[in-house]
Amino acid sequence: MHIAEGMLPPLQCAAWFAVSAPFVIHGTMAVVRKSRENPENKLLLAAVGAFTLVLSALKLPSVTGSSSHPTGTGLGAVVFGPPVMALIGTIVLIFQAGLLAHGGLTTLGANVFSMGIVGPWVAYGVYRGLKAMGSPAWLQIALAMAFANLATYVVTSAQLAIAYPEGGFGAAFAKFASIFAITQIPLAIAEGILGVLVFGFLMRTARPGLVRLGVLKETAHA
Amino acid sequence: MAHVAAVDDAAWESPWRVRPVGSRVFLSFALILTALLTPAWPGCVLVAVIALALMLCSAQIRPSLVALVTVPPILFISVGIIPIAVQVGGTPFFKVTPDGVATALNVLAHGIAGTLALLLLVTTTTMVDLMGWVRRLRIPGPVLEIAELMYRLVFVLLSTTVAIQQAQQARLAADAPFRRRMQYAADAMGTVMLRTWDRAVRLQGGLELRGYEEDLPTLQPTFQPAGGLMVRNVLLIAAIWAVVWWVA
Repeated sequence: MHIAEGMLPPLQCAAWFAVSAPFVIHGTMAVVRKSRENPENKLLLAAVGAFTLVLSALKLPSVTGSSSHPTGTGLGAVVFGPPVMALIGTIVLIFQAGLLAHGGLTTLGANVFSMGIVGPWVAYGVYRGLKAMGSPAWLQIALAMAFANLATYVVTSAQLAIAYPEGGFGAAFAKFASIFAITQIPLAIAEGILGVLVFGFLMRTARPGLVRLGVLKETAHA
Repeated sequence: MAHVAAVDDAAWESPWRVRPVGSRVFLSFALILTALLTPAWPGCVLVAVIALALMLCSAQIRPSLVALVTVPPILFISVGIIPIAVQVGGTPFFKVTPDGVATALNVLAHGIAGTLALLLLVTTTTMVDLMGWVRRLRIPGPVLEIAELMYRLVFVLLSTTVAIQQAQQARLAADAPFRRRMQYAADAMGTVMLRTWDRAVRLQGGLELRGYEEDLPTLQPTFQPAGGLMVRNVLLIAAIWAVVWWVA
């Protein structure tokens, strides 16, 4: 779920564009560098973007009885790094606005900041932290995906609380965050569990590819 | 999910395809900005009515398709404004205030008008035409290539996802216990991921065989002259602002 067209005041739309722009420019430079290093990377980056976009159309069963969808940016951040996901997230959000009417153009800066910047950086930080602690790969992926999802919605709650601070920012943040929590905490847990299952599926069917991308070590074969 | 392809199909078949992309982008962006910057009455109402009328009449989008693409985001915005109407803290802890309701209705008007203005662009302009137009804005080539490749992969993957979900439904996935449904969702995600990878590698191979190096140019349709259209668009936007100014 992203902030829809028209939900933010004009000045805040401009401010979120200004905040997100340096990250997207940095991501663009990283993408140009990666594609010049190896032209095949363009295809892989497009595949990650297409996969992220298609994931938003893939319904997940939710313990609340409703259904929702994963974000997929956590996995992309682990594989390609968070700077690249700032640009890929931006392109995905533009396509989502254009093809799914999900999100909007004036709220693009705010949505890029939550889904394309904070989510991937949090995912990458969790992944690197757990890797440094020597935790198993499945746990790194699961928590990276779950925290990317949660971080995205915490930031979205803060953005809405800044826009509509009736009763004060703290009360408004608590209001939006607690409403999102009804669906997003179960969804984050579900996405984390799903991450483990997907990782298990990929370990069974695509281990050489994971080793080539550096997600798994060669010794993991033993 | 079906409406993703429906929006794209409508854009390819739109009679507006002969209009220059710049004039369509200008009209849609000007309507979006008008919806953002003007008061709900009369600015947003005028933008919503004009965008809907243009979609149904001038652009000849089927009413069923207009309903298909507009109802979900409008429902989403309608649900999204409920928390804005509610204030927390104090006694009683949850209360609906007149100010909160007014703010929520104001946001609803801005949201619906902006969404209809955006949908006017996407139901009349293909992503390929848009990316061809964006190419003039000096955006780095590799970024546009990735966006174009992503667009090409999306529809193949969507059909793959639909096929996987239909196969799972045929195996009574909807009636399975929660744990089994999670496993089905994971299998679907993993399969789509591997297919994406496989398709990307095969697409790369195919493009290289056709001499692909740095650019993926596509044929552009022949556009009618932009001058008259731009004048009409400017007059339309100016008329909305004049009414807003007059009412205010």
